Amino acid sequence: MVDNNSTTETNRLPELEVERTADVDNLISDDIETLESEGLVADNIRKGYLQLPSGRALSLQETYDVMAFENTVMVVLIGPSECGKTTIETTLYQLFQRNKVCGFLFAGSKTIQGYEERSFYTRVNSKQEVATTPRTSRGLQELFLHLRLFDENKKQRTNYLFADLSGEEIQAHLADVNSLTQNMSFIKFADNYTVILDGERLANKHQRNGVIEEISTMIRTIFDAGLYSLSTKVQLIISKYDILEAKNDSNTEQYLQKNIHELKLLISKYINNVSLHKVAAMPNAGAFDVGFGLDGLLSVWEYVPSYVHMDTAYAVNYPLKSEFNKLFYKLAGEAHE
Amino acid sequence: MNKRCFIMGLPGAGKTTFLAALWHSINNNSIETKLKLNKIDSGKYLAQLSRKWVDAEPLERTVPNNEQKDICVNLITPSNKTFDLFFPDLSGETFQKQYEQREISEELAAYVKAADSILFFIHVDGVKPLGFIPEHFINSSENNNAQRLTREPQKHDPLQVQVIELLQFILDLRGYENTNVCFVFSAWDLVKQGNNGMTPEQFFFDYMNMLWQFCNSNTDILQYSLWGISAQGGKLEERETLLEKDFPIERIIVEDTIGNKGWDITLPLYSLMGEIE
Repeated sequence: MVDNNSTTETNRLPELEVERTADVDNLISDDIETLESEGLVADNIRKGYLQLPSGRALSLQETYDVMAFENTVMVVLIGPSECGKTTIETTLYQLFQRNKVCGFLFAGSKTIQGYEERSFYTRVNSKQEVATTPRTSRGLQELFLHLRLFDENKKQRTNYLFADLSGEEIQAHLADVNSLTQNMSFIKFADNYTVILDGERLANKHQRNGVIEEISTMIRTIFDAGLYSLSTKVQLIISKYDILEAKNDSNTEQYLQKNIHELKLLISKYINNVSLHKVAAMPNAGAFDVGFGLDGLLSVWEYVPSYVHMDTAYAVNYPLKSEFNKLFYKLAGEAHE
Repeated sequence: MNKRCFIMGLPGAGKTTFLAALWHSINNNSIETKLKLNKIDSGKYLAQLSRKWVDAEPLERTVPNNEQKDICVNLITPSNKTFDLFFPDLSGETFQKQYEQREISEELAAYVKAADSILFFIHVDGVKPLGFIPEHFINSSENNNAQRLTREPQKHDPLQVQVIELLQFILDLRGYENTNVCFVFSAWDLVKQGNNGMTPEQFFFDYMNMLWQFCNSNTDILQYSLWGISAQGGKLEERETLLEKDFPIERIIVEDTIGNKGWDITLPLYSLMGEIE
């Protein structure tokens, strides 16, 4: 006779790493709030009506549907408050309203309301004269903005999830590895860390050291907490580049060269793939177009299948006979005879 | 045989004017159209609309409490095949509410799921270019004295964004099954006044590029066709001119994707119901 309990135990799938990490408990606690708020929404649904997708930014839980369905790239934007994280996200979305970007077509979004809400004050029809983006302070319940893009060349669709973290959210865990690991360990699944250096503050001699110091500490806190993988890429972004460029100051240029070099050295202790980008998402009227530099960023965020990141330590330099052994190379798109 | 066509469009998109002109066209044997009325069953609502349309009188806007949820016409094709075509005349506010309040009646959701095709009306006047503030103003924190408006999604969000969101709802409700959509650019005469060489295909690409991208990157689940239609033929303020035509049907402007012109307003429906032949 089969012991039901032992069978259940034997058939249990191994516990996933994400399930073991401390933040899940916290996130589950947060879910209690989600359920409560969903309950409130459910109460508001009229009898005989169905609820349609909210279109607002997604919670971590809601991203599972996206990630399970199609290839997904997770981009976590890191930087202090008002450095331009949300403007980068929303301007990229808005560029698609005019044309395709860098060979990518807009194939949909689960967070159109989230994007529109954040984009409104950058548009002429808001009757404002200065483009602004509301500061992000939504907590973990509305964390991810979503774009689904179609690569014209590869003929494939990929989901992009942008973690819309508030400056305060990150700063709360600054230089505190334990706190970051407990509260935000999900960011270790990021394919890209997009680290934003505020160009406006870099242009100011009295603030620029603070910018570099703050970012260095953020990077170290994240990486010393082990929140990265072999395949993680890092982009260093100089935001509001139009302001920096307008200053046209050789001292600032020299300062940046040296300090960016130091930042790259710091990151390369953990991660090999680091690139530098100059971005002016919503530049002042002048030499730069709206969305300057975002096309380059989009191509760097490219989806790379996880199997391509297999540990090369397992590679061999002699002919393989077994089809099973050849699988390693086949998955990586290579031939090994 | 039955066919169901779900007719969509935000307020003032031209849905009802289209239906008025459609009834006149299918009910008028003096001019050839692809689809004709086989027999009148319950055409009272459409006949009332058509009665006003022929005299170029303004039609009352469809409001939620006078929506016609299941109009049925019995049609005959050029090869003498007959079928019942079911379609609703819904208020634009119904779709506006879907966008803003994120709910749909169970009855309508069932209609969407059962529909063979979608006819989506877009009024060309509602298509506006996206303007970014830095492209229009010199940025200075001192000159931002304008009163801060509160965003009203239906009023402020770009039309193509609203159309995409409504299409995403449709695809979601239909479980991402293959869906046939016909976009009708209504008040097409306004486009032709500005640029006589403009085709619906070009208009779609130039002025609703995000929607173009959306449709062309989801071809496995979404097939689309484009029509430029002016069911009235011009503005009602130009009524005297409109009434100079010998036959009301001659007022209708119908242009297919690549710009072939005519006045057969049944063509979009005929193309959607292709497999009948």
